[in-house]
Amino acid sequence: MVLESILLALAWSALQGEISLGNLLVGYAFGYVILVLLARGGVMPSTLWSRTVHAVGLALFVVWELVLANARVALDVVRAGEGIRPAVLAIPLDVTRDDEILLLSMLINITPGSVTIDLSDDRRTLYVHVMHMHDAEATRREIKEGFERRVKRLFE
Amino acid sequence: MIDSLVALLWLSGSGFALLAALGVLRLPDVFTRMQASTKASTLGVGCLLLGTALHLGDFGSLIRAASIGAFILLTTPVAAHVIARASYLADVPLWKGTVLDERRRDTDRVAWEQPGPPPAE
Amino acid sequence: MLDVVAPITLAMLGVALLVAVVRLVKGPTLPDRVVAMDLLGVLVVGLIVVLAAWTGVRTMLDAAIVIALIGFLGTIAYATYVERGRQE
Repeated sequence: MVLESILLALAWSALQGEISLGNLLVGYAFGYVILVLLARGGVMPSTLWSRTVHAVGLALFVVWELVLANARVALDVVRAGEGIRPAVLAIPLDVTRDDEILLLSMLINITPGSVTIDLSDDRRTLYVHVMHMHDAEATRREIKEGFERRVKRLFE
Repeated sequence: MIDSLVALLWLSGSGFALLAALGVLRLPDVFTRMQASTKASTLGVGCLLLGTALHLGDFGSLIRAASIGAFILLTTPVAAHVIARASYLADVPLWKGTVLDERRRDTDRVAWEQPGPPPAE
Repeated sequence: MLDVVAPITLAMLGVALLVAVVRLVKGPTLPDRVVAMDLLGVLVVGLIVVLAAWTGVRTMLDAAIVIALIGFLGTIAYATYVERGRQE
C-alpha cells in the first residue's frame, strides 16, 4: 500500500513534468486520499493508514535510539573502553519471515553498541554482540520490545 | 541563520567521525571497534550530508546527498554484520573482558561465563 | 563563518583519517584492518561531501557516491576472504 502511494506520487510528478519535493508530496497526499477512499468503499484492505503510522513511529524510534546509542558509545570511547561489559547474547526470535528478520537485524546493526553475529540454522535465534550487558534478560527484553515488537507490527 | 546551522552540523558530524576513529583505535577487540565505526557512518556522515545539502540548497545536490545518505544507511548495517560474522567464525578472539558468549554455549555446548577463563581448546 | 568552520571540519576529518591509518597499520588481526579500511572509506566520503559544499564544485558529490559504492564492495570482498581463510 505504501508502495502504491509512492508509485502514485511518482506518476503525479511525472505528469507535472518535474520531479520536485513539492510535487512528490502533493502526489503522495492525493494518492493516499484516493487509496483511503478506495479502502472505505471496500475495494482495498484498509491497512495503509496503520502502516504509515507504524512506519513513521519506527523511523522516529530508530532516530531516537541512534542518538542515544551514539552518545553512549561516544562516552565509552572517551573513557577508552573503561567499564564496558561486552557479551554475545542469544535472542529468541518471534519474527519468522525473511524480510522481518532482515529489517530487525539492519536496525540492530545500525545502532552503535550492538552488532548481529549470526542467525542459527533453524532461524529461531539471532546472536547479537552488545557492548553493555549487565543483565542478560534485561538486554534481551530491550531488543525484543524495542525493535522486534515494532517490526512485527509494521508487517502485520 | 542557515550558515550557523550548517556550521553546527559540520562540527558535530566531524566530531562524531573523529570519536569513531578514536574508538577504532582505543577499544579492545574487533567487535567493539566495529560498534564505534558504525557511528562514523550513521550520525557522522549523516550530519555532514545534511549540512552540505542545506548549504548548496539546489535540487540536484539535495538528490545526490539523499542518495549518498540512503546508500550509507543501507550498506553500513550489512558491512557491520558481514565483518562481525566473518571475524567470529574465523575465531578472532573476543576481548578477555567479555562477560558471556551464548553462541559458543549453544554450538559447542560449553558453558562459559566470566569470572573464570574460557576452557582451553 | 563557514570559511572558518569548513577548514576546522576538514582538519578534524583529517585527524580521524590518520587515527584510522594507525589502526590499519597496527592490526593486529586481518578483521581489524578491514574495519579500519571500511572506516577510511566512510571518512573520505565525509571529507568530499564537506569539500563539495565549501568549494561549490557539485560534481564532487558524484565522486563521493562512487567511493561509497567501492568502499562497500571492498568490505564485502575482504570479509569473504576472512571467512574463506578460516576454512583452509
